[in-house]
Amino acid sequence: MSYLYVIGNRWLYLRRIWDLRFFWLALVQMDLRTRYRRSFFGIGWSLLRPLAMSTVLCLVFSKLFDIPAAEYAPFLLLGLSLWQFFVESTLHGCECFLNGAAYVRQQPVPLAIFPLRTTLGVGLHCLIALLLALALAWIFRGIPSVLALAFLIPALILFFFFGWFMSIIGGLFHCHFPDTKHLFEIGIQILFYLTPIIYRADSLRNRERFLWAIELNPLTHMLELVRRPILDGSLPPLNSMLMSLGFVAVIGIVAVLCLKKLEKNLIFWL
Amino acid sequence: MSLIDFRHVDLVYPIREHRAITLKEFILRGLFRQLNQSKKEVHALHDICLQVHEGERLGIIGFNGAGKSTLLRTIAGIYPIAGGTRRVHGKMCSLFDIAVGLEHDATGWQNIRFRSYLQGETPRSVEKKLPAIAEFSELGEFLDLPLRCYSAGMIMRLAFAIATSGEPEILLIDEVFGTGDLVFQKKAEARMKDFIDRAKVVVMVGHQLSFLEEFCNRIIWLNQGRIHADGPARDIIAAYEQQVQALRAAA
Repeated sequence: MSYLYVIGNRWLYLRRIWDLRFFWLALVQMDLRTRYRRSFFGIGWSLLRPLAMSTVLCLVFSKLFDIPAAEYAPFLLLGLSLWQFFVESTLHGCECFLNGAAYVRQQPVPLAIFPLRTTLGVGLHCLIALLLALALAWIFRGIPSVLALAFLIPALILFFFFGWFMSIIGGLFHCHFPDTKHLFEIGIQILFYLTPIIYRADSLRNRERFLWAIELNPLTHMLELVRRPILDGSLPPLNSMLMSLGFVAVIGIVAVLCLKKLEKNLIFWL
Repeated sequence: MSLIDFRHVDLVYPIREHRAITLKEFILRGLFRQLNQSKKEVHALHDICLQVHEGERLGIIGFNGAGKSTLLRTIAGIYPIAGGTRRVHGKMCSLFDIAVGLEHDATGWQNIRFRSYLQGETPRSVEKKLPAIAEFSELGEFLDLPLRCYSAGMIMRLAFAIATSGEPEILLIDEVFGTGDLVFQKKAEARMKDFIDRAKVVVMVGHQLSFLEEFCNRIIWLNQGRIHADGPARDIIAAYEQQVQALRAAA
């Protein structure tokens, strides 16, 4: 039967993932419970990092960039929570297959469920920070338009798929090359400064030497998808939508091709 | 109709020498076209032809490294085959290192659920099975604690209770004996017999020849990844014991 589980037959593969939904959902639930240690305060603790970072950065950079804190704080928190989602799905994703190895050795399962588990866990976690940013935006800037909020749903779905694909790629590479996570960490560090998270892209308008790098960075555009509707109450520009969609599609194709090629033999690398 | 049908199946393991190469090395060597990494492989199964029909209780014997567990995992669909065809029909259940895939941060109850979901159960169907599994494991209030707090024997008991709760058509067993204390062992043996009786086909690997002789009606003897002999349990086990004795005498 196992040839059926290989991604060759895509619908059947997705069907297998769906059939095992109770399994991976239970794992996600356990991951979150372990993370929050079964206490309400646990969620508070996990928010501490983005909150503390936002506060400090807000104090420093709102002065430096000369932006009022009420405007800067939600901007920053949104950027940081989305960034954290990207980083954690990629880096935790590196270990997703190794963490699931015990299950893989017992029976054939569609391997994509392990990155899915990682992404869902990380995603729910970051969603809390995102809701907090949304609340901040409401408090400081009034209720955003319904249209803009409706647009958030496809934008977040796009982010979810992005995270899933990144964990698939990270996990597959990490099984074959043990230094993958380390190299990713370095790359992510560099990318952090090339992405308008703590600064606004338009604050660099007159320094054109860097601008091209930031405008070509697809993450810049992905952040716009969420920031624009919440902070400006408007839809993001068309080129940002296209860039984001195109980028996630490319990452998705890479992830699916890698999975198709490597899934069958991955058991030997675990 | 045969439930397991293997035709000329080959299985090849890739082997990583010393250590895995790093991504950095891989890219650098790729850039300078020196990626002629000597690929080492182990040919674990050679030309295996095997049909198992309903009602058969197949035992696999052989010396260490003969490919017994590999064959079992290939039947389960865990290992990809390098050549030949593999057909397996029926709901499968595998008992390999049953205690390994448990989550140590989760409670006993949660682990029962994970495992059952992995075998394709739904929350509703698991709910019905929970009391029986809990009762058989004899863990009582310990089920509310995370597995970290369990002793090795308790984990084995839980794993065994969960693993033997399914209703498989094809049952694959890789030496799961020696469960817990003596009292539990008796109980486990009875449950195991019952479990084996319910399955249409059973394939098991073991070193306990007496157990295999009791449970199996057919034995295959593997030697270096090939089927060396295949036939009624008693005959093959007798021949195997003879060879073991001959080897002992020579040594």
